[in-house]
Amino acid sequence: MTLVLEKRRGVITTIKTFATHDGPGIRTTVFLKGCPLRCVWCSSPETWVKETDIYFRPQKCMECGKCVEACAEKAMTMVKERKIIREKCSRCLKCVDKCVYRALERVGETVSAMDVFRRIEEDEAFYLESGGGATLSGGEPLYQPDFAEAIAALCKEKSIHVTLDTSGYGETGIVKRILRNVDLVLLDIKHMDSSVHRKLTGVSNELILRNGEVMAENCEVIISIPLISGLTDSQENIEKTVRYADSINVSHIDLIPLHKLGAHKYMLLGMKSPFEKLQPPPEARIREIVEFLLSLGIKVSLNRLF
Amino acid sequence: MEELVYVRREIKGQPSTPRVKKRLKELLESEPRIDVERCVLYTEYVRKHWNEHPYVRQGGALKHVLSNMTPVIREDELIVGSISKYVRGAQLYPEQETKWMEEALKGVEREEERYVKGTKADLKDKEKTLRLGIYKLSVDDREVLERVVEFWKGKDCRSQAEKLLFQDKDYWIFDEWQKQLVFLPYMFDVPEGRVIVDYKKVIDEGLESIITKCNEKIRKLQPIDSEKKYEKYCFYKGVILALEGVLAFAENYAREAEGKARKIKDLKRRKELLEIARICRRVPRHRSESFREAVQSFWFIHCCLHIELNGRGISPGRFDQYMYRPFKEDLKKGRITMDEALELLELLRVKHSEIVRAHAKFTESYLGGSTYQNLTLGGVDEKGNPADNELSLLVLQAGINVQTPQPTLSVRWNKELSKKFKRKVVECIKAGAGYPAIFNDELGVKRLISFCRASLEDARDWAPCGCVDMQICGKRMPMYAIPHTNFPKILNLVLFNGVNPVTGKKLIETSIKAENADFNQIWGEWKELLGKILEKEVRYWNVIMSVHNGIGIVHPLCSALLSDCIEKARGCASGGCRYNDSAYVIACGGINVANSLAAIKKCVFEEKSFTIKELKRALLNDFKGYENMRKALLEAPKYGNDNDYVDRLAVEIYSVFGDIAGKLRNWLGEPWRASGLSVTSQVVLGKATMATPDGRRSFTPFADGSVSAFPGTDLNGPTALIRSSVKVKAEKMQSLLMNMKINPSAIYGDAGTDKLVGLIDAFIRLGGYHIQFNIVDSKMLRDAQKHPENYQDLMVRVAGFTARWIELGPSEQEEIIKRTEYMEL
Repeated sequence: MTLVLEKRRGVITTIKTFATHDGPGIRTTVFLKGCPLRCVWCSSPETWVKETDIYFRPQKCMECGKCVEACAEKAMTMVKERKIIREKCSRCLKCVDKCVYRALERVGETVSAMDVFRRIEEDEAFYLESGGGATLSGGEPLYQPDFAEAIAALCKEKSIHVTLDTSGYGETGIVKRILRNVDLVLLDIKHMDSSVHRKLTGVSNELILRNGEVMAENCEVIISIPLISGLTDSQENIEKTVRYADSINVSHIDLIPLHKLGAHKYMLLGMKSPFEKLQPPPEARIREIVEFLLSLGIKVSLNRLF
Repeated sequence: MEELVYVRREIKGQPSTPRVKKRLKELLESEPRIDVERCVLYTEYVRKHWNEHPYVRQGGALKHVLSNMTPVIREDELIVGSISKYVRGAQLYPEQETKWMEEALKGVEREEERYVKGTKADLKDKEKTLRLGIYKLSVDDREVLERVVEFWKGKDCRSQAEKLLFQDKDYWIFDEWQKQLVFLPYMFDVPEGRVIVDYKKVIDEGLESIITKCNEKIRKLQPIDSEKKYEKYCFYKGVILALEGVLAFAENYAREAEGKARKIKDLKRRKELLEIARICRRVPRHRSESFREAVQSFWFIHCCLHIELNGRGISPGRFDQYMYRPFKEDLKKGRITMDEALELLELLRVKHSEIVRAHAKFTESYLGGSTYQNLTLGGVDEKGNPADNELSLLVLQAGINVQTPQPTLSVRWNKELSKKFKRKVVECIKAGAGYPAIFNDELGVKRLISFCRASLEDARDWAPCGCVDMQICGKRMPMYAIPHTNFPKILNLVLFNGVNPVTGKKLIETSIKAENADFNQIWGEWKELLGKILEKEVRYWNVIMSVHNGIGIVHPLCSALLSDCIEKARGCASGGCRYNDSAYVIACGGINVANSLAAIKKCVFEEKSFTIKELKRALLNDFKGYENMRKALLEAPKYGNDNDYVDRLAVEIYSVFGDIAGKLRNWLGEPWRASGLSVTSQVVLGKATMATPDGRRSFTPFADGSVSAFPGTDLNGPTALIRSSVKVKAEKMQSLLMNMKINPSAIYGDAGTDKLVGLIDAFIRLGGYHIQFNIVDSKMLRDAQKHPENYQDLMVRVAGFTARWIELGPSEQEEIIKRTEYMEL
């Protein structure tokens, strides 16, 4: 049914080495492109769709017009405003090739699992010395299950520690299949109330919670809670999450207060940044949550640095 | 607009006592200035004793200087002794070079000074303050100095050496190379330094034992009935005089302390002063019996060396080893608390930072104002066991609490060091002052055995000296360096058939015509020219050193503390030391050459996108109108991404460099060495160099260090950069230097600390030699550029040294900001 592991292909945005916030030790994190969720605080809009995209940096543009000439769809414009009319763009990337000032940049490339594995393997010395490994992230790695599975399996073969960073949203059968080659799951529980979850992410949470159980039965799980003021930081939600964690025997909770480091990516994609309306909880509230979790005997970390 | 929110440094220390705080404040508020006391006393002595043997004259002169310098004990000081009566005063050495002083007094500008714009040496002085080099000189001192300069004119080492050099018919073209920055001009004004003396001997035995030994040697020489014996006799006499000078210096401080004690009403301070007096009478004459005595003894020696030698890079070396005996004894007997010891170490940091040097404006433009006092921790003991101890931890804590540029800290890192120590090292790095730098311990030992033919025991007692060069403590000749050779400019000379495209002058004959050459010919010609240039550099420097030693610029104090000068009765620069292969040439811009060659290979010879002729036109126009070509050049493989296509070139560049140097002989018949430190030469040499085929624009800086990536071209993160860098074998080099900039958020907290420990462990396991970190958010540095007033105490790592941000020139600041920063989140 599926290709041999090495030849499976998938789309990624980047591979980040010396990743220190995606699991234990020094890691190499692979960002798979494509995600079924649309969290309102998402910091990586470039990973929403699986298809290739184009970043445009107006400050680097010298208005030479080469991209306009190159575009058959007339999706590049410099009249009034320099921008890409994204609806018209066919992602042929001719404009990117023509840009000598590097104002246009391609986002997303199709690669084989072996390509990715080779990049991971290069840093073996760093994993060995720091207790690190590879992390599959995204986007949502479960969105490209065969590809994700192949990378994880190749790592396992070489005894490289694999962490799966996931929203938990995927077919349970797929989850089970991938887990066979995963050592640690970083599971995002964005909200415990299903209707609120739908409002915040576009999907309901039943499947996620069910998958969480399956994950915890099969490997080590750490639950991450994104903290956005007024949206996810209520005492009720925290308590419910704790109860859920307890029910599936997870004793380590990670808190990720909202950060806005992804804001510029919205601009580069010609989108409106959502961050004006969003805030992380105040310091005091974060501390309160940490204290609360600690008082219950739960291991707590911040920003996935552990 | 970009938000100016930056990640703050996580670890912040502060002086542990009000006393340290006061001393630090005094230091930060003081302005460096010129002091003429040393040169007046020295000249006074030499005038009267012109007919003495050089060894005796130098020993006597040092004694005269040390006995008559003004002792200054500052408010609340516990460790005393200063090289100047000013808090930060620089002494002058006219016997070495008067030319730069004359130029400064007359306001003459050197040809090469047009390249210093934007550096520390580029002074925007509205009031037209009278300056020598870059420091202030008072009007009264000016008159005194003019008389001193008048005396030395024509007699100093530079003039005497140049009398010889100018007779060489080839020298004039070589001089053009210097002025057009094919390499940085000879440092006549900073010839010596970069030495680690045997502090252990001073602390464990005291100077009196050395004096006794010399007297015995003299007795055994009797009767002195040959010239050879007379020279030996003079050597010992000189050493004795010099050591007596140090003792007189200490005695003056004892008297000064007593004098102050008599006048002071505060009983507590009076007691302190009397204790200072007691200690100054005991050490460095005798063996140190307490930690406090050892600190004072160490300091007197370190201070007096800075009066004897005019160098930068006089390094404390393995402080946590030779100070450990008295420290441990004190702890055991309950004579000192950890807090008391910490205070002494913090005060000692302030003392190190008081020392400043004055040199020619141009020299300052790339030395960055640092004195390169390198203090080393960790490593192994003589049996090979890990050597970190409680004192090592305390020195690191003092480095966190008192962030001063001096001394810079280094760690000899090996797998077996304790976890506690490694974590403390990383904590100190995270405090952000840029130290400690990390060195591969095992590699240092191995190299010193295979290249310097050191014994295992001696090799195990190595330490980085000055910036990053491997030195053997107490046994190897002070390092003499010919400053940086401009590797990218040599590539331009190849491409432009021997003509410097900046000036249009023909500087060297080439054996190929670049337009018709293939890749291997161009690459081969680069090596050829490098060889020719290095050969000239060392040939003339050997002449200079022969004059330097011959006219008697010898250093009896330094020699007394380096094995085996006393056994051999020879000065430390004349073959007296056990190991004498420490003269070196230095690379700059090697990575730009590797990137350039890769780009030429790819674009011109493989893809045939354009010709060498077209490339040259683009370079001459700084790529204006040739943006397509620049894009192609920039997209060619770049060093720092673990790509063999280009990395192999970098490896070969340094390998060839090491081999060429190793075949040349220094004035003692030992091999020259190759070194890969950068100071801030990448800024100055970059300013003198046209665009290069790697896509670098005209007159902009080169890559820093020797194995750092060119800013913005290492696109695959720090681990790939490390993998690239470890391909360059440090064994052939005396040093390599790599800078890495990491955002504080990436290594936050205890978990982050362990991750950086892991990164360093992996770096060492892979065979890297040196790595150092700036843990800083570039946005903070941007803010510091705009609001320097808020960043009085901000420190950054520049090259093999740490500097106060506000004391760097704008070009240097910009260069640091532009280095690739590894982010997280």
